[in-house]
Amino acid sequence: MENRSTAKPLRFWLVLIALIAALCVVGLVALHGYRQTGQVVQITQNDQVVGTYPLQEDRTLRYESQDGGYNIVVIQAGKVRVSEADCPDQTCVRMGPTDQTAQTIACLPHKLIVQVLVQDDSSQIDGVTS
Amino acid sequence: MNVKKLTTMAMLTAISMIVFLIEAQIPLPIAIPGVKLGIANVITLFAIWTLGRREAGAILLIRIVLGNLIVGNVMGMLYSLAGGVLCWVIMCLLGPITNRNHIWVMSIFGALGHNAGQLAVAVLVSGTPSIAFYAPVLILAGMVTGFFTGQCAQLVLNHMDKLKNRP
Repeated sequence: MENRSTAKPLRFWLVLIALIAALCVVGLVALHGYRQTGQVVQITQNDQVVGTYPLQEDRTLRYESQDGGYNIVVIQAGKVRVSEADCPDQTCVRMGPTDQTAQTIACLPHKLIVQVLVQDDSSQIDGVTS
Repeated sequence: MNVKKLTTMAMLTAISMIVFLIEAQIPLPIAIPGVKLGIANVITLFAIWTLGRREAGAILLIRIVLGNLIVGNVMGMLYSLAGGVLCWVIMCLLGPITNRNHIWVMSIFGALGHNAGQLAVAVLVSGTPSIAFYAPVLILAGMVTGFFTGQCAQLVLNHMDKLKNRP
């Protein structure tokens, strides 16, 4: 491929890249505001909800995947994390603990999704004001 | 296709597979799924500018299929394919409107295409749209890694030019 006169000037690309980067930063800030501390952990495996647990209660869960692998999910001190997995990339383990919504921990090789949700039952509403 | 081109393509395929396999062994300090250096894209960029688009596409496809077979990651092949093909399409489209001296521009947009393809597969495979929240982080990371791999390809290309122009 040869260099052609149709090439856009470098300025054009710099502006475009800066624009996209700026949009991403805005998106990140917006996402940060959208995030909130959740109370419930929902665990999905192979597109099916396999368990919902409160963040307040410490527990350790083990999930076996179809291909013989496993993930160990630990709920401790109000946060959830994947403490152990036998997948090659270990991304879910290195993501660390979270108690925020919109901060999904995903182990894609084992199709395991750990999501923090806001409790939606009405018992959370203050008894005096309602 | 002459013999010289064929052997060059075979060489580049072998190099890109080695790079791909070595990169898979290097852990990154950032724990965000989908963030990686993508050094193998240096070969794709180099092939696009020296051999042509179709040749680069062929090298890319063989690298993805064989590389993932060797690693033993069938799911990984799906991700690599979606990312790699989208990356290649975008870089081919950008070919006529980018400058050969600023390959990093092409590389950055290729990296963004790669991210978009992988994210789309991740959302579809897991059925969890909230994974798309990673998009801004992935795009920013793709810009950094895309710039880096682009500069690598630029270095190689400039050296090859020197070799070719030697008396």
